[in-house]
Amino acid sequence: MTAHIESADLSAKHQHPPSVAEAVGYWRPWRWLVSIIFTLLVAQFLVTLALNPNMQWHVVLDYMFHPVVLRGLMMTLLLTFLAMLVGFTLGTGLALFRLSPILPMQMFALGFTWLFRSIPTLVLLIFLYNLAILIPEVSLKIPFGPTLWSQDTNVLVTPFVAAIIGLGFHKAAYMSEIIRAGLLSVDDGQRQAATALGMSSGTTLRRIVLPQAMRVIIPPTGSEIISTLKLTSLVSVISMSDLLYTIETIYSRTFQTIPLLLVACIWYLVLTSILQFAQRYVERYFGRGYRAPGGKDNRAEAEG
Amino acid sequence: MKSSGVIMKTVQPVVFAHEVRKRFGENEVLRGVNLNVHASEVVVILGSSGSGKSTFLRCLNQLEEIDGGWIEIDGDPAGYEVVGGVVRPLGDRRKVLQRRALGMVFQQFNLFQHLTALENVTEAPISVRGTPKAEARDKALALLETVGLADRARLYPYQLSGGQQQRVAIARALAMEPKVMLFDEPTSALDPELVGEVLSVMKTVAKAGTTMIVVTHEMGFAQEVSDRVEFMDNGVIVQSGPFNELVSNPASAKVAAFVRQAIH
Repeated sequence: MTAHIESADLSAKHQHPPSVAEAVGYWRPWRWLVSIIFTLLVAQFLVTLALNPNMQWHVVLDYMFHPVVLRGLMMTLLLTFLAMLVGFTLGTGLALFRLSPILPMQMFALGFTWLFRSIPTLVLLIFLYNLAILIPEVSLKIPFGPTLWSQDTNVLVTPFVAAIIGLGFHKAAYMSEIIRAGLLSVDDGQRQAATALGMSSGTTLRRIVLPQAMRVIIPPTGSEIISTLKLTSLVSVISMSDLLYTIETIYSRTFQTIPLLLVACIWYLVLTSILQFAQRYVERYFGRGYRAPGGKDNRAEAEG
Repeated sequence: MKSSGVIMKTVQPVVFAHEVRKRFGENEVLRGVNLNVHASEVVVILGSSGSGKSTFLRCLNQLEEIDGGWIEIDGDPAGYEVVGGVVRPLGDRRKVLQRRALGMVFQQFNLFQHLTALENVTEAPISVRGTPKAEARDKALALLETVGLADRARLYPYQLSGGQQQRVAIARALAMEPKVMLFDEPTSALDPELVGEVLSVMKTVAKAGTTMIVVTHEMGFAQEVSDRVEFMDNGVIVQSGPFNELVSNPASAKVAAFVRQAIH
């Protein structure tokens, strides 16, 4: 047993001890030196680059908001949107096929993913562009039965359609894996609770499993959208007038290669930055009901 | 203790289970379970872990398919029908409809993580039964009031304690107005100080005349609330009767040992 010690019993030193709150800053000279040198180097590089007359900033400015460039930009955005739409929808379907108890459906999904993850997107695009040579006519028929509908491939698979299919299928193969991982991440107890409440498997998927899977699906999907945006530049090889193709057309005429490529770079930078910013908000929305990393509450207002 | 009157024996049981068998691979978990539960009865199933209690509950609401025997819920054969003397399995659609007759409370609560307490309770009435949103909301708030959590309606499951989560889970199951409530070890995952609040909610539900089948290790609850106790051992029910009879006159050494250990 320890007796209670009165503060009067303590030595003079311990009567009024100092507090660390009054401590002065610690001096780290090496940190300062490295910071200064590094900043100077980066600044020097940027200034040299910016002041290089070959950059022709006035040309960059002229073409930045040029209607033709903006039209190319819109095409890039449209392609990104449609490729992701195809990728997400088809990817969800493929993920469900993979998890289905029906073997041929599993095999189909597996084969599709294998094929479109293995073929380089550029090769796929050129292939689809020349599809008419392989399959001159597309027809809808009952397997080994009569034809219901048919159409000339060149009419059906325009460069635009080829681009959507090529980019969309490529994305679907990647998205199906992401979505499958998301679906598997949802605890089985959630499905059981939904089933016990009398929900059908469709309702359970739509109302319970998918919303929770989204938390896992969204972050990698954000990266996929950004990668799709950049991937669309490949369609310039099948003469789709996207941002890059438009830029190429202009500089092949004016020979202002560098400033025009800068225009393209700046636009790609702006778009990907916006996407990264938007991703954070979407993540926060689907993260509701979960403690944020570090124990911070995602929805502090819910405490009300 | 409520009296399970003799008159009730003549009417159709709400839960009728006859010689129910279930195997997982080589392991036969249920080896012919018989159980009849009548309206407003509270039945507690006791037994050591691995005796098949939880599996039996999961068979009743078809979370598991049975391998033999026969189950009827309120006279409706579960998962099967007899057409012209032939026993045929039902399609998924019919099974989904049948599950609505049973409410289930899980050991791990299984609240929907992305929904608030209120949304957890309104979800099934809205998406399954098509109840108008305002009506489902009013009813859910009343149910949350019953379980003492009206002030927590807007919180997400992770913001609630285990006991609170389980109380929301009870409200969620009650919202579908089931004919029978199944409780699968509802307090086993809780810290000891949180067990009481869940048991007291279960008592309230029982007093309201709800038909209940409860798998639990809470002997106090079995003694105070149950009309009948079923003791399960190795996939069969070995003793059935009032709690006190189980204590005073155990059918086997195993029952006696279980009771002695659980009470002391």
